[in-house]
Amino acid sequence: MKLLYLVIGDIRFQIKYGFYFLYAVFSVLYIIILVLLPQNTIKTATALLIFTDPSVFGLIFMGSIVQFEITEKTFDSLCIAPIRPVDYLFGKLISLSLLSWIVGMLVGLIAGDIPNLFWFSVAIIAGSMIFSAVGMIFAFRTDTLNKFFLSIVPIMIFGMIPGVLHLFDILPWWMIFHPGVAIVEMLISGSQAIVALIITLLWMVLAFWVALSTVRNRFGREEGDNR
Amino acid sequence: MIKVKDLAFSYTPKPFIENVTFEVNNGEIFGFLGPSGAGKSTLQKILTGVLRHYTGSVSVNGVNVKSANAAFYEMIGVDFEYPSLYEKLSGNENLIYFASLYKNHRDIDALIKSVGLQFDANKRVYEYSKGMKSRLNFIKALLHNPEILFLDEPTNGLDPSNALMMKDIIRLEKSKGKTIILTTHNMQDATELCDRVAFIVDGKIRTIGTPRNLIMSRGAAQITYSYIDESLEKFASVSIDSTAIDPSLLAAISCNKLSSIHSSEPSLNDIFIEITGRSLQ
Repeated sequence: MKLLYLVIGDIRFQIKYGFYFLYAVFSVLYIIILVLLPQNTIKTATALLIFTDPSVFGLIFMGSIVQFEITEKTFDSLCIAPIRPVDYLFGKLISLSLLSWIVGMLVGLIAGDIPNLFWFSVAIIAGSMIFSAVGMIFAFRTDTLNKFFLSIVPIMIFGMIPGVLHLFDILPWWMIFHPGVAIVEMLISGSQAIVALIITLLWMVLAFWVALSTVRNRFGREEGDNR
Repeated sequence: MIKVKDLAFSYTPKPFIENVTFEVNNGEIFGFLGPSGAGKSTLQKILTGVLRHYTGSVSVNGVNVKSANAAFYEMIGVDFEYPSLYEKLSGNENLIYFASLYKNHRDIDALIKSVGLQFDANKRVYEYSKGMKSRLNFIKALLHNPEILFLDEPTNGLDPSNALMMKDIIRLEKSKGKTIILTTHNMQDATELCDRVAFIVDGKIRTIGTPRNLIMSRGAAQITYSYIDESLEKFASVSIDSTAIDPSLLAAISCNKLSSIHSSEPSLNDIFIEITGRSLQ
């Protein structure tokens, strides 16, 4: 129940701080781009737009949200509230993944080409969760928004470029172990989608584990925490 | 209610909080008095389970704060010295959100009204003045009707009438049996509100006592008077326990020559300076 209230609170926060407005603008822009593209490029373009935005941008949004909470000191109030660090983490991951999924589906269904609705949805949610968790890790390890943006540049490059290259089928098979490649494989409903799902789940577990220990540390609960 | 024994903590290798031992009774208002950087807020963070890398023992209502869990946080309310509010949400939305994190909560409208924010409840917090944010922050700590309140400089930045309103609410909470930890450098607040105070300087408690006893233990009050002598006004002072043997005073009274008489006693601030050698303000 508390997780539900945290998710609702985070959605309200994202609406008030303009995240939904920003995404609405980008969605319209992506739909216009897809409508104007030649028919034979739409499948690749859809995967490219969805992978580089709704899937991955959780990284930037999560960092911004956490930095806002630190700046406005509301994080201090959450530290002394009866919530568990795991609820705090998943409240944000779920709310951002939901936003990513809505935008991805909207763009994909209106103007894009979705090869398989199930894999498309799984890819967006998994991608958003992994990159949002990474965003939280970096947000808590930097003390200003500028430092946060600088710190995630390498993650953006190494996380996104292999995924984009995979769309053009120019990577060796073993690159499927890369999380970006695995997410794109599911987005396009490729032949290795099941393998990609398993690999993505392993990356999710790793990202959640590191993010949770980071959040616990910031909550001051690293010692004797039984919440 | 609160038991602290041999507490030591530091952010750096250099010792900071050292050998701190005290107890706070159920239903008591206990004040931590000290200048900025004395360790008051750090002590509050330890008592609320935010800082756990300390040595010694700290228990709040029987709970070792190193293993504080959700039930512990249902039991305490914390009013930070600084606003801890979502600036783009309204005052009302802030309270609704924080209330949703607790099992039970008080009537939000009544709380808002109690601090005079009923006409501003739907304004976004960034439109609030410093005093309005302080009042909202204060009732945020009361939302879930906690048994123990930690108040850090609750009247800071408030005008006298709002400060008075806040102090009345604190007294009301005490009358309901709440235990209140008041962290302040405002000796007037401490004198008016606290049952007992602890003087903290450089991470150490120098003394603990009731404000009245601390004041009275440091010498008797003084009587200052003036009288007319050969058409000139003269001033003199005498300790209140020596008035019967002060010849000038006795003569002035017997000849009806007193022109003024005042009693004065040291303030808590004077006592603080005397004991610690430091100023509170």
